[in-house]
Amino acid sequence: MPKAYRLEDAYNNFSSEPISSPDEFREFYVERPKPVKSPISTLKISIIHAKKPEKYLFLGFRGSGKSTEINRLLNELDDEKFIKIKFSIKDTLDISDFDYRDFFILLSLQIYNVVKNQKIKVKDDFLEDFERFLYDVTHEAEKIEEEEYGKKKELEGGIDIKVLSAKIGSEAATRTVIRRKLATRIGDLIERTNNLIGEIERKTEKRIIVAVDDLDKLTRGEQSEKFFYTNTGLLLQPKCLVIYTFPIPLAFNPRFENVTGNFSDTFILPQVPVKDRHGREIKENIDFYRAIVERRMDLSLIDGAALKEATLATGKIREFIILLRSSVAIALANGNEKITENDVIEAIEKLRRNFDRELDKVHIKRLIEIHETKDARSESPDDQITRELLFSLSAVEYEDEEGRWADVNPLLHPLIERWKESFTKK
Amino acid sequence: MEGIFHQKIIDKLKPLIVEIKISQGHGDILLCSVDPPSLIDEIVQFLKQKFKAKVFDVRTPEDILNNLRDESLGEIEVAIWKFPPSPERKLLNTLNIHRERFYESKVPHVMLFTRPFMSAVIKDAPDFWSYRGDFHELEFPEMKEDVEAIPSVGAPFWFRDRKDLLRRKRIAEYLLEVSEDEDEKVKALMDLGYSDHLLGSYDEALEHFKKALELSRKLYGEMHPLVAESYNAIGLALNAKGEYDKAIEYLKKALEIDLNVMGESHPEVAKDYNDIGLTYHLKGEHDKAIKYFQKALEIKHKVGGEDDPEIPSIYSNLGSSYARIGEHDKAIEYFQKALETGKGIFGEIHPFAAATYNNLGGIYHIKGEYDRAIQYYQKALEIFSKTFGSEHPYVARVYDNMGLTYKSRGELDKAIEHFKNALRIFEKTLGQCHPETIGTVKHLAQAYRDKGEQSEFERLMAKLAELEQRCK
Repeated sequence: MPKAYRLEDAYNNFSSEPISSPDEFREFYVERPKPVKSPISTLKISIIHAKKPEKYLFLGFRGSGKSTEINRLLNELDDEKFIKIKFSIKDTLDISDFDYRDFFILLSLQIYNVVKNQKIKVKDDFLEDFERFLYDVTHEAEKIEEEEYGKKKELEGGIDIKVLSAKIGSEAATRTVIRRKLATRIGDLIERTNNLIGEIERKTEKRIIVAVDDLDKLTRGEQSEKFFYTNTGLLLQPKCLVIYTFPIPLAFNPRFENVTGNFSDTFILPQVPVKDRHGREIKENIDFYRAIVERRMDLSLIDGAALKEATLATGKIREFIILLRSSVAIALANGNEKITENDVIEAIEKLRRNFDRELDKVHIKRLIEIHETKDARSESPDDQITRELLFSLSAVEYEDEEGRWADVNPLLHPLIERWKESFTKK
Repeated sequence: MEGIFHQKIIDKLKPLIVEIKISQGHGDILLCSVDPPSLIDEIVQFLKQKFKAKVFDVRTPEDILNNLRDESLGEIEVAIWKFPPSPERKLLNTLNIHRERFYESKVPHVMLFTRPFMSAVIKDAPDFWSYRGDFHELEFPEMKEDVEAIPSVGAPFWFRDRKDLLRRKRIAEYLLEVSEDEDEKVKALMDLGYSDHLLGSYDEALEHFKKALELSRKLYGEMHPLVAESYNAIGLALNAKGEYDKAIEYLKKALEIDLNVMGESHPEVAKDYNDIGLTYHLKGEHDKAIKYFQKALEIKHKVGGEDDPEIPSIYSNLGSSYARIGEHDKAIEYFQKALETGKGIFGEIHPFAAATYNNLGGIYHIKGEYDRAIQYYQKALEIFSKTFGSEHPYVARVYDNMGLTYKSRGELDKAIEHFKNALRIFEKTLGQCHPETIGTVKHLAQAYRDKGEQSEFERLMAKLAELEQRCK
């Protein structure tokens, strides 16, 4: 993890995983430039002074550094005052078969886990009530009856969270039972979870904060939107502080304004563009990307031109890091001691081809429009095309002093002229 | 004393008695449709006291023919014929073919049929029907109160048994004490009320619901769903206490608020309709009750699916009302639907299933299928005892119902044992003045009377008179 002085070591320092431990933050974290600064410090103040179990929305593009910022926030909150839970759906759920009931059951297990792991002396009734209910909703009725009135007492010793989480994540049959039973009892689950939350907070005199991360990992954009819009009421019910991180296209839905008012506050993590809406380079932001590289490897390991090429190609943090990692691998494969401009170009081409392959003519047409108008607002409430482009990062939205603006992902810029030509020919 | 039980029956039997008297020496066929069927035995007893009678319990066509050959027919004033509850083709054919032989016997014949049997006579033994001397409808809808249905056991929260309810109660008491949040206090009070209600402590439940109403009105004003919920819960507790008119007042207030705040197509509004329907059902206004249940069902189907936890309860209530208006097949159909949908939502070992089994037992009792009724009651008793424990009013109600069935089967010792069990639990949980307790005292007295234990019968009748005076 220390700063790399050889390409072989640099490869692992350009990991697309968010920064999480205090050591990693110390080594790798680079403060964002002021115009695109992280809203985390404001969110932190809001959390520290919250009197009620506030719910926050934390929005950003995929790969803009949301998880890293959430990790940073949790690291900075005082351990003596907060019990911090970070809950990633990608680690526990089958994201291709995602359902709100699986989500709430896993959220409740996180709370239960706190009691068990930290050996918090909560009133037995709360634990028993939670365990009995959870046992009931995770088992088929016949089995319960047999066990309940027979000899077997599976509940003694509590619920094995790891086993149950794994079952929910990987066993479709378990998910089916849970979903059927929770269809009418989700309120019961939330109520019992809230009872546990209240008791934990009373006994520890600490507040629970849950950060729900990776909702943007849901396989389709509309999956996370559906989850958000159909379950807003439920998302507000846990009686602890919660930060929900959602992909930003959620906010481009016309319904967003109606719903967002139910949350205590919405925080948006801006992109860090390398060029402004007029195509002029933004020095401060370019320096930010350069600093990211400098923290992770000695700059002698990359040609100046290569670094410039890489920086101007993306304008998004995770994509930039992936590009660097790929460039390191290509450089090593080419037998180079440092990353050359050609290595970077090869890595960019590889990424670009991936994007291009996924785009059909309707998408391309809309991308050309976005590029020309610098606007990616939905044309109608049903404008799925624009939302898909933003979700896939083929189009990216930024914000500057003049407001929101959008463009095609810088990676795809070289393709724009070719796309236009293909339309003109027809 | 006996008049307390029989006055209504006697009044209705008067024309029949006159006809028996004037039919002496003639083989007139006097057909009687008796409902509830459990009254057949009472009518037999009564007629036996008035006339020199012989009772024929018919099971097969041969029974009819052999009894008609009975030489003692010439020595009696009336032949009383009891038929099985469900019509059987062979019996109907025998009646139809051998109708003239009744006339030849020169003694009036009183034929006691259940309603389904009578309908089958009209349809499938038309010659016998047209050969009748007269036809009497000995139907006493109010007597059907004998077999008590149990209102669907639902709760706004998950529980499986008494242990869960007691734990929930402890949690609510604790939260009421430690919580500084007023919203949470309202919820804790409601939880205390619901738990007490389900545990059969209706006075305590009412007290908690009233406190919840007071606090919620203070916090949210009148037009708020939580205020409506408190009114609704008070209504249900009053129902359980037998104070139906007062209950309707509260339930209608809840409906008014919910309609105002949430509009017609809302699950809470459906629940209000269902609960009002239940009260009308308990008041004996079954047609009105059915309309409310249907309304509730319609909304539930519109806004949700069969998974809605309220739906089995609506089916069950519909079953109870149809049972009371004599539409037994429809009642069974709804009870079965309740059982089916309830199983998916609550599981098999749940008070809801027990209540439905009890209600099915009731309907088979009304149909006169006593063995089947006992089977269902036993299932209900087993599940209620497992889930609510043995000292719950619902357990008592099943005991009382079983007692009635044993009494109808002529097993009076068993009947007395069950009535005693019911009475002990009712007195302990609901008190002496509750309609259920008083009803069971009546049943026990009747059983002693039928057994011929006059002193015990009179002792209970005196107790009853004292209770009726004291509990006015």
